[in-house]
Amino acid sequence: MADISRAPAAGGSQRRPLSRRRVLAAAGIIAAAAVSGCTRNSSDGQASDRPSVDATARDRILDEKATLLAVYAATIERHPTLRRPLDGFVRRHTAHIDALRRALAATPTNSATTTRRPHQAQIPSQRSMAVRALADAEQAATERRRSVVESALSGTFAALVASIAACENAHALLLRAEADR
Amino acid sequence: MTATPKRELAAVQTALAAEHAAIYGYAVVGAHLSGDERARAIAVYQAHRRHRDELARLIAAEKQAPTPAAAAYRLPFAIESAQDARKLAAWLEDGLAQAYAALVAAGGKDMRGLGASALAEAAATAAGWRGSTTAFPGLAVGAGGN
Repeated sequence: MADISRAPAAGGSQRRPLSRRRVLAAAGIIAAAAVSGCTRNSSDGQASDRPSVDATARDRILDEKATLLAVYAATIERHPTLRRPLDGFVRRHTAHIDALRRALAATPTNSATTTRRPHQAQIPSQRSMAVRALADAEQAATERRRSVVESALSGTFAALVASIAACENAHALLLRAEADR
Repeated sequence: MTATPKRELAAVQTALAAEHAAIYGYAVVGAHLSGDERARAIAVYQAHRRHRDELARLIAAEKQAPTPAAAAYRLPFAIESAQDARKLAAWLEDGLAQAYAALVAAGGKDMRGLGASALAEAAATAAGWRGSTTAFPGLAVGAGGN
């Protein structure tokens, strides 16, 4: 019997002693935060001053995240009873921003921090419609991540963006459930 | 980090092993649920069988032997109620998310696309069972932000 958690099981002929942490360590994911953000010349390994496609993609995601957070803020302003249900969503987006800023540490972010905040009038007056609009925005965000994941130079950065996209996908599902409540 | 065929293949094998475990686990999950939840468990079970077949096909195309399923798996905790079953389902999806995040990190462009889609699916499925998500499904970094 194999342990479903990949730890050795008592008895049985097939054992799979492979913990999740070891799998992640093997893939280099545990140390995901610090990967180079500079384009490297393959012949001499020198970092150039040109930001890599990863750094450019990171900055674009940061801008999108700032816009998304502004929509959350305007939605909460228009529907104050959503503050508590949406709190976790806001915190997770903030965690994404922090992780993205730490990623590619060799290339400082150029992302602008000023974001146009949508006017309250742009937020649907009906609570369920406002939540559904957020779900749509999350869905659009997760779909935009795909090309970044596929074209990233760094596998570690690709995994970080894929994880963020997965969280946004889960957000879309949870928000639709909230809208139907 | 550069994708190499060897690293990529190892990550595909790990994802396949996680799918085998999930298929076994979902049979247990379904047995403890009823109505719509049971139907959902069956649909997810079938989706995991499709993923398993696709991964096995990819490995076979590389002239390698796909990791076989174990005859049986020991569950991480006793499943005695629908609540336990939902918890197990979410736990299984967490394991898949980790395997697919590792595949994204190790894979070339095509494999990253496959891994990212499966990771997104695992995160949403886990959220459906649990009613919540984490900030970084599949990753050990930045844990929290629940």
